[in-house]
Amino acid sequence: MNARILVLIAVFALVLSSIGSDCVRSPFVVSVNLGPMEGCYDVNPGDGTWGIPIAPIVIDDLIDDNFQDDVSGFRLYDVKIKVSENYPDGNVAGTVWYTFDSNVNPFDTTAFEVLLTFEGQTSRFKGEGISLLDPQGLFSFDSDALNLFVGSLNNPAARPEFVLLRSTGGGPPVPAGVQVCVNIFVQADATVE
Amino acid sequence: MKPTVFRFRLHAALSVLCALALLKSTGVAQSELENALVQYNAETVQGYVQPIADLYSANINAGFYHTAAIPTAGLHIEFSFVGMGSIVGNDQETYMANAPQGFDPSTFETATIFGDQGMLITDESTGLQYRGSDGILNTSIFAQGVLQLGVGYVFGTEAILRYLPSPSLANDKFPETTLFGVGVRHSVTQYIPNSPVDVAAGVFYNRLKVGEIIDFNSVAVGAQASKSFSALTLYGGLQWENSTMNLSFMSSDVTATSPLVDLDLDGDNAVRLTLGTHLTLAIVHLFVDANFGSITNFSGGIGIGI
Repeated sequence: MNARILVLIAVFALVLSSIGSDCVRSPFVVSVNLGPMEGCYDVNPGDGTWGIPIAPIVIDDLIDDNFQDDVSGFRLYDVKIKVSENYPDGNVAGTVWYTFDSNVNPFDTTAFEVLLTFEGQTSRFKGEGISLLDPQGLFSFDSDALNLFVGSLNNPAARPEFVLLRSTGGGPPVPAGVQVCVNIFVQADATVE
Repeated sequence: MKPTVFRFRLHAALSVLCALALLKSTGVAQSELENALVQYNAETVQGYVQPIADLYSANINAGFYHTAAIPTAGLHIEFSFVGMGSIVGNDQETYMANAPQGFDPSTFETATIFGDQGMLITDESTGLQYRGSDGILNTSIFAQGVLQLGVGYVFGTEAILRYLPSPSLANDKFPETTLFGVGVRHSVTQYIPNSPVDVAAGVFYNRLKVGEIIDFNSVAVGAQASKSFSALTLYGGLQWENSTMNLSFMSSDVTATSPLVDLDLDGDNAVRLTLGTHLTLAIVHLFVDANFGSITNFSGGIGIGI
C-alpha cells in the first residue's frame, strides 16, 4: 500500500515536472506600443518658419526593455501634429520628412522621404493636436508614403537603429518659444518563445 | 475509433495534463505574462485579464470541505492536497477591445489571456494597423492546487489552513504564485436533534498572489450538508463568495492617460452549488466535487488524517 502510494506520488511529480510548458502558449506575440517617435521644432521668431533638424531618435530607446530583442513586425497606428499653445492665430503649413539613414546630411531634404503634409489654422492644432486617424481635412498623405515608412522599419536585411524626423514649414510671425511637434505612433510584435 | 472521437479524447487528455501542470505552477522577477500585461493601460487591460479573475476566483473558493459531519469534540487532524480546476468557456477566449481613438472600426474582437492569436485591424481610411496581443494560456481547464490542514474539534468547530507557494512555469512565462487561506466551520447538526443529515456552516478567506502585480482577496460564506453511507459520504453545499483581483503596475503603454494602473476586478462567481462525494479508506480520504455557478468548477483531492 505504502509502496503504491509512493510510486503514484513519484509518477505525479514526474508528470508535473515535464509538462508545464504545454499549457503556456509558445511562442506568443505581445503587441508592444513603442514610445512615440517625437520631433519638436522651434519656430523662428523672425519669419515664422521652421526646419532646423533634430537629433536622430534611437529606435531601441522607444521599446520596452523586456522586449527589445524580440521585436519585429512594426506597424504605424497614428501620427499627430500639434503646436504649442502660444502659437498666434493664423494659417500654418508644414511637411513631415523622415529617413532611417543616420549618415545623411540632415539639412538636405532630398535625402528624406515625405510622410505627410499639413495645413490649417493654428488653433486647430493646439491641445491634443490633429490625428491622422481624424485628419479633419488638415492632413494630406498617401498610403504609399505610409507603407514605405512601415516597410523601411521592417527592413528584413537590418532593422534600422535610428530614425531622423524632420519638419519644414511656416506660419504667422511668432514670439520666441513656439514649437511644432510631430508624434509618430508605432506598434510592434514581440514574439516570446 | 472515429477521428472526431479521437480528437475529443486527445483534447480532453491534453486539457487534463495542462490542468495538472498548472497545479504545480500557478514567479521570479517579472514574468513574461506580467511583461505582457504592463503593455496595457487601465482602460485596455480589463477585457484581456477578466477571465483569469473569474477562473482563479472560482478555483480558490473550492475544496474547503468534503463532509458536513463535525463532531462536537475529539481529535481531528487531516492533511490534504486539493486540486481545483475551472472550465475555460469559449466566451472567455475573446473580448471586445477598444482600438486607438479615431480608428475605424473603433472596437474589435481579439484574444483574452486564454485566447488564440490577437486580431489585426486596419483603419479603413488610412490603412493604419493595430493588433491585440495573443493569448498566453493554452488550456481548457484552468487549475490550481493547495495543501490543506484541517484541525479540530472544539465545540463542534474545525479550523482549516491552506497554503501553497508554486514556482514559475515554462521558463518564467507564468509567474510564481502563493495561495494562502484560512477557514472555520461549525457544526449546525448539534443544534438539530435527530437531523437526518449532517449540517455545518463555514466562513473562508483566501489570498492568492500571482507574481508581482496580481493579488486576489476572497471571502466565502456557506452552508454544507452531508450524508454518510458506510465509507461513502455524499455532500453538498451552497456558498456565497466575493473575490477581487487587484492589478497594480506601471503601464508601458504610451497612449495611457496615466501610467499607474491600480484596478480591482471582481470575480464572476457569486453563488455556487457544490455536489460531491467522499470515500474514506481507513485514514485515507478521497474526494471529488462539482461546483455550479457562473463558472463551472471541479475540485478533488486526497487527504490523510483522523
